[in-house]
Amino acid sequence: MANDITRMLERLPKHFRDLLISRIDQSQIPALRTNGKVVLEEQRYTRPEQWKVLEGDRVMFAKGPNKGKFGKVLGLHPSSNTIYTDIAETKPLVIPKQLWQDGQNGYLIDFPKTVSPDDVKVVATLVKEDGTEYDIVAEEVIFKGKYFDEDYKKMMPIRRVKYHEHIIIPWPRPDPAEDCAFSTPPEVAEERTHSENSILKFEQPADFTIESLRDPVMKRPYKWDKQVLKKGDITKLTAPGMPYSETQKAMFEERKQIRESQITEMSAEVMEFIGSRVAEHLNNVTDPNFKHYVEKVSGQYRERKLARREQEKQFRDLQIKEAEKRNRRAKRANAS
Amino acid sequence: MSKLFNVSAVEAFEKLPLKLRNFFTRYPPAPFRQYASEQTLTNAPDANPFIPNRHPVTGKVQEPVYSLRRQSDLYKLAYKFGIADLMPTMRNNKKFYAEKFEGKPLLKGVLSPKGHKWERTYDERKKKIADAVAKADEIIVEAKGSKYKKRIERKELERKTWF
Repeated sequence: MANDITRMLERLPKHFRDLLISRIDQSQIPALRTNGKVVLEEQRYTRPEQWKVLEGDRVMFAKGPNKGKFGKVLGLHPSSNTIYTDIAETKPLVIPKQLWQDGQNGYLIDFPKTVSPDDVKVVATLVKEDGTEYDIVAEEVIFKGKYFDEDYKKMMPIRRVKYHEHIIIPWPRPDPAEDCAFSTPPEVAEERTHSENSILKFEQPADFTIESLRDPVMKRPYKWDKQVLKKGDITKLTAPGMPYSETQKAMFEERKQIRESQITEMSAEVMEFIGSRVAEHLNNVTDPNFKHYVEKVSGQYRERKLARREQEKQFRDLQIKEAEKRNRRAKRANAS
Repeated sequence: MSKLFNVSAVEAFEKLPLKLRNFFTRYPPAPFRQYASEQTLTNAPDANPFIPNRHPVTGKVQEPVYSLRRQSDLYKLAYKFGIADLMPTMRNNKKFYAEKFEGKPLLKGVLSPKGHKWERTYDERKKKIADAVAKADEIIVEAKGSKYKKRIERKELERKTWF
């Protein structure tokens, strides 16, 4: 029902939607009001890359009255794209008796306010070479690469510190899920109960026939039940010649010839001819700006730039590899 | 102003951008290879990479090897290094910069502007007025008769001069 209402709200124009939400809020008791902090279904965060922090992460507050303090993420609040933290502002809220929690003995409680994940920064613990630990606060995080997380049971993005991609901030470990009476144990779920013997022979009984897999009472006519087929239909229904048609083969052959006939190296006399013309032009240049331009666009400059970039990339990759190795070592030391 | 470069042919060639160097590697300039200025077959030895050519088997016209944008880029780059004339001719003898405007015929309006009506009829009206002033006496005599003619003649006789 609630879903229907949100879906209905999302279809409305914004001004009308806001009006309706405010009217709905007015009719509610204060404890159940959204206070205009409701986020549309399609804009809600669903992936860890959007949240940037998950339950159990250590964070530093970068905004608000708790600015500079360190806290912990207690949970996510998807309907407003915000998080609950252990240090938080509170607001007094009147709770009707039906909604009282265990141990509550008054109508008024201090309800914690949520924080936007943009207003906190993730804290990571790193290990030095000599084994001492120290904390860093990531100004910004980026996500590069993915791995399968055994605890989350899904592919998780690798969280890295921006501009220091070799520093990986591991995701917090989630609370282990407890099996209930209806859970299926993994051994049973993974057990293979059927295997095909052949992809050519069907295992149905010999007298089993079926005209079509389509619903027999379907009203819409099937598009291939046509009396007359057009040229395009015949093309679609005819299997292509394997592997390539004669025309395609001719085209490949022609392309190969073109590729082979292309000149890939310039002869010395052509180079001399063009070079002399360019030299004649350049030796008369008096504009320093033009000289600067020529130096910037020249082939030599570009070759040097590409070589430098390649070298930088190799160095960065090396750093990331070393950091990964260090993190693995630290994780192993923590586990043991 | 002092000269900023003193380079040999080989050094100057090294200064060319890679884009231009690659182009001239694949398509050597005029004395070494000729390029048609009209549409040819794609496999012709003088096929121009800047002009859409016809495929010998299918008979279809193929897009030029270099698109108009890339042609323009290459030409302008070559122009900066003083070798624009070594490029193959473009379709419809397309030109850039000053050359583009030199060959263009002047517009009719620029050659003979129409002008306002008073400008168009100015000379005609002035001539008409001058003619009328010159013939003024005759016309008045015709209207007023011989008495007026005698008065004019008398005035002419009585006109005082300094001599």
